[in-house]
Amino acid sequence: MTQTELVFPTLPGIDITPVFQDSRSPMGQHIGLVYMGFGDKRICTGLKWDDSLVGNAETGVLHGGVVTAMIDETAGGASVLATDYKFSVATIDLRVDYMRPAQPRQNLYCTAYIYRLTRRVAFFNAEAFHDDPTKPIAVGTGTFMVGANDSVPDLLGSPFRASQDEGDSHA
Amino acid sequence: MHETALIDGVLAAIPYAGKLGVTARLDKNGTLTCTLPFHENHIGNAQLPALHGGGLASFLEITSVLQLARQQAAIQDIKTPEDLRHIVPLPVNVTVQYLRSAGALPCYAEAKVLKLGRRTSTVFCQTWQDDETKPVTSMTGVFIQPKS
Repeated sequence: MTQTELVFPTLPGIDITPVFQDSRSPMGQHIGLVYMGFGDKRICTGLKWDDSLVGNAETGVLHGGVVTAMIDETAGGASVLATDYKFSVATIDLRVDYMRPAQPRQNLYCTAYIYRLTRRVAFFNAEAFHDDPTKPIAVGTGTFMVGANDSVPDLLGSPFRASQDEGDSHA
Repeated sequence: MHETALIDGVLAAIPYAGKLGVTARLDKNGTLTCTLPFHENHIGNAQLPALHGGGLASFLEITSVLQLARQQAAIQDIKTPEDLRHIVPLPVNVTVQYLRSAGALPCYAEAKVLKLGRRTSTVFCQTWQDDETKPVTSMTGVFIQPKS
């Protein structure tokens, strides 16, 4: 079976502006993470199945750590988006529940949403799924420190900025 | 099965551990220490630089699985490499704390099985870099055993 191209599934009741941009972090690039869309305080990503990302050679299922890495970076992106690119962020903590077994040779998608933002902490929830967002493979929840260090937030690239600047009504 | 062969066998069955370059070493006292070598691919923030939280979480999970598989082998009568499939645990959930920024250095990890069970087990794992008394991440994970 050949790998299928990444096509982000529709999220019921949620508007997503599509983008297609490789991750800007070295680790994200290493696993092949792609930013696929954004919405209100939300980032969507995709990841092509690859045999080097497998956790059990016998079953061909993605490693749990790959799912966690995907959730971590997607939620980091959502934190940067939700804070208007003003602050660097760093993960404080993260919990991932593996709800059902991932399917072998299947692409994975993730959406992360910042449900509460304070001056210092962004609280997120995230889901990772194959084709059906209502049947998540894993759900994640956790926190990011806002303004964690002096680095310039660089997780998200120009497609996000351009579309935000156009319709920036809350500047 | 010899314990070193068992650990090598489990590690070899995890392709993603190979992609990250994770290695495992058993010392004379029976302590299992895993190493995540520094590689540019593991960076999350290139400006600092700091390792990616997801890469560290992956390393914690791999180390926990190895340590748990070792102890499962002791209670589940493992004789051949084919039996390994019965002892490699599946994660139910993991909770990761990021305690300090992880710099451009190798990471080391040790895991402790808090509860060893035939169905579920709980493992605690820590990573450190240049100073073992200053962990950079910790994780508690709950795992289930595959049905044999």
